[in-house]
Amino acid sequence: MATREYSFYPGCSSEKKTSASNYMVSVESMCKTLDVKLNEIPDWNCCGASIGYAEGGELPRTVMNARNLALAEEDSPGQDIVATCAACWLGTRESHERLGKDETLLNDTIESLKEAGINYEHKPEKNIRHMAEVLIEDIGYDEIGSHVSKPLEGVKIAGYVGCQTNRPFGIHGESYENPKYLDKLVETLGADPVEDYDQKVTCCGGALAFSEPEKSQNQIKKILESAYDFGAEMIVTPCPVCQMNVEVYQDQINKAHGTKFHIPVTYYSQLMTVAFGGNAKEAGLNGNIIKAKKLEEIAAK
Amino acid sequence: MTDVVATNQTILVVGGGISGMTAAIESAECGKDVILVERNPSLGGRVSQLYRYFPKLCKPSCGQEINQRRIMAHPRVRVLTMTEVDKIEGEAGNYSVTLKTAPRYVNEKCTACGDCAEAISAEVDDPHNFNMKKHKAAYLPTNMAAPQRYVLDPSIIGTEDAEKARAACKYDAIDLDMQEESLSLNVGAVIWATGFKPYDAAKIQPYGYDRFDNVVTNMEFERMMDPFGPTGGKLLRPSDGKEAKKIAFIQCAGSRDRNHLKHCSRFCCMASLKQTTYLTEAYGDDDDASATIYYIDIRAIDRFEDFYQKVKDDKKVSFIKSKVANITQDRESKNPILHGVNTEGYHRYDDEYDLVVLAVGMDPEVKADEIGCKVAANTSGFIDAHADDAGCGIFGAGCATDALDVNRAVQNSTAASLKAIQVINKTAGAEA
Repeated sequence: MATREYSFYPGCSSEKKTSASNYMVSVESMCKTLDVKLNEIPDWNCCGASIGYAEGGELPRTVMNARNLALAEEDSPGQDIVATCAACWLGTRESHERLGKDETLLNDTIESLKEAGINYEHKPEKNIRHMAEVLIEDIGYDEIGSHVSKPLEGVKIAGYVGCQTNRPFGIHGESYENPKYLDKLVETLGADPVEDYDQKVTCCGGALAFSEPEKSQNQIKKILESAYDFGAEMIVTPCPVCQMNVEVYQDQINKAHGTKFHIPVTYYSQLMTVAFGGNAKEAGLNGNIIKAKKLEEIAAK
Repeated sequence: MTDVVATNQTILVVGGGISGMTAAIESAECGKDVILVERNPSLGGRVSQLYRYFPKLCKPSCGQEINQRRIMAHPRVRVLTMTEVDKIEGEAGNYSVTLKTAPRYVNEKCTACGDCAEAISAEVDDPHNFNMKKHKAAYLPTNMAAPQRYVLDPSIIGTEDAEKARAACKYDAIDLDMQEESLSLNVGAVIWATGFKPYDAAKIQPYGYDRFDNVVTNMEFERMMDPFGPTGGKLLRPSDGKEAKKIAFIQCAGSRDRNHLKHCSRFCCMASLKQTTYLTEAYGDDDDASATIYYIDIRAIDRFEDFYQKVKDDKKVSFIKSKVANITQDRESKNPILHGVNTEGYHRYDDEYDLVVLAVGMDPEVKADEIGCKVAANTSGFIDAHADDAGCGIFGAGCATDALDVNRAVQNSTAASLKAIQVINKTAGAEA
């Protein structure tokens, strides 16, 4: 039996051939080392993401998340739900809190799900958590550090937190203007954090990358510039959307502004997998568009 | 310590700031016996950290000296410094109180000559200056300290420095064997005057007080003007020690904000208006000196209106009606940059300054619901003076009851003194 077990909500970006499938690969490797078992919610659905807030409406959004909650409880009763995607975590946790506070919404949700043959019972004690919380609160830096066999020595990494793991809930005990958990994690893995990275909670533009490319690329430019100014060789993030936006638009930004950005953007789980002795494939490094050469070198050692 | 005599006709005053001192003097001068306890090694409280009062711009040290002399000379007042209330039980006319006195390691033979400080090398943070500077671990809390007696910081006890200090004392005033003492008393009424503490500016995260050197609080700004303060009376930037000439003041920093303090702290508008005059004091007519106040509304009410008008007429001072959204820092110059929207005309701004002063509000130093004995708390944690509980002989005074300026705190303390005197008179009448 695994040391720790959670009900797991992977979310759409982790599916095969999607933008963050390599995130999933590295999470699996990381969890293997940490002896964490993830029980995927059977037949989970979309959290609603930005569309849920923009056009979807409160009830549809809540019902979608409540469906996942009900299926999780049925499959893995009593277990905390863990999400690796920031938006999935935020949407599920927010819906769960709303259901606990709004009786009308709760009754409407129960009614709606009944139509689909699902029985939703509200459990206020249920915890919906981001993987970063599991790492920090349940496992802890010390235990993470004890698994490090290939410290990421000499790599300077900017911890880009983004917005969804940061507001409104955030990681317990962290400042929301200057959260330090990624820096601490980077340090634990033997790399050098960029302590003064001043764009660590700047929004990457999220879904506006499609509809308002100029504005969101302006945001991304700030995030990249600051990382360069402080001498970072790599950016690390806990969010699939942050990872994608900050990575894939570097070429377009270079074209528009005459800059020469070319900096890898990785997930914390990729850093951990490599530091734990995993190879490039296990860390999902093949999924990065801008290759994380330093990580590849360490992984190949 | 054993010579402290108290009866159920004694008034205990907790807190030796301007409010506690006022209540103690008023009560004693009406013929009541008073025990005044203060947690710090000296009387004076928050007022002793101020550079000037508004609206007259006189220096607090003047009135403070008079108060301290009256207290120290009055036969009916017994002052116990470094002393806290540990427990309090009972009812109006009959309270049993346990006090705890921390060791000072210096006895009454001290002449404040300073030889002990000369003799040692260890330095510790100076809380009187909000830890913006350090002082020797054998120290006089302030130049105005009452009692005028040195203190040894407990961190040097058992070290060589403690021995050096003792050896340097010509008066046999250093006693390294002093221990914490506990004292139980019986008193008839209590005046609770524990005052305020500045709201923790680091909690207002968008303003970056914890990240940016050149973002300071209004109380720290007061210390900078003091000739004996951390910058020797000059307005110097913490990041590089250069003169700060272009200064922004942010009003309601953490006040009137559901994420922080819900209440208006009442003194901060006038405090910032007052602090703009420090620029004239520091730089005269220098055109480079300027003060910009970001505000929701200026609450300079009643007789303070004149002062506000005078500041408005000052060419150096300008006002922007806006709640500042956040502060960032220029990486090279370490200049703070204020971001937000000017609501008069709806213009966005990104304004760069040498220094930013956060006009932080007041939190109660001791939360009212932690006092016990039926003391009621208001929604901000101050003592609710309007909760009319006939059985309660504990009366809040000054900023323990609400966010007040000095003038109103003193009035409030006089009222508290009268209430306590009535309890004592009733007790005495019942016994006669």
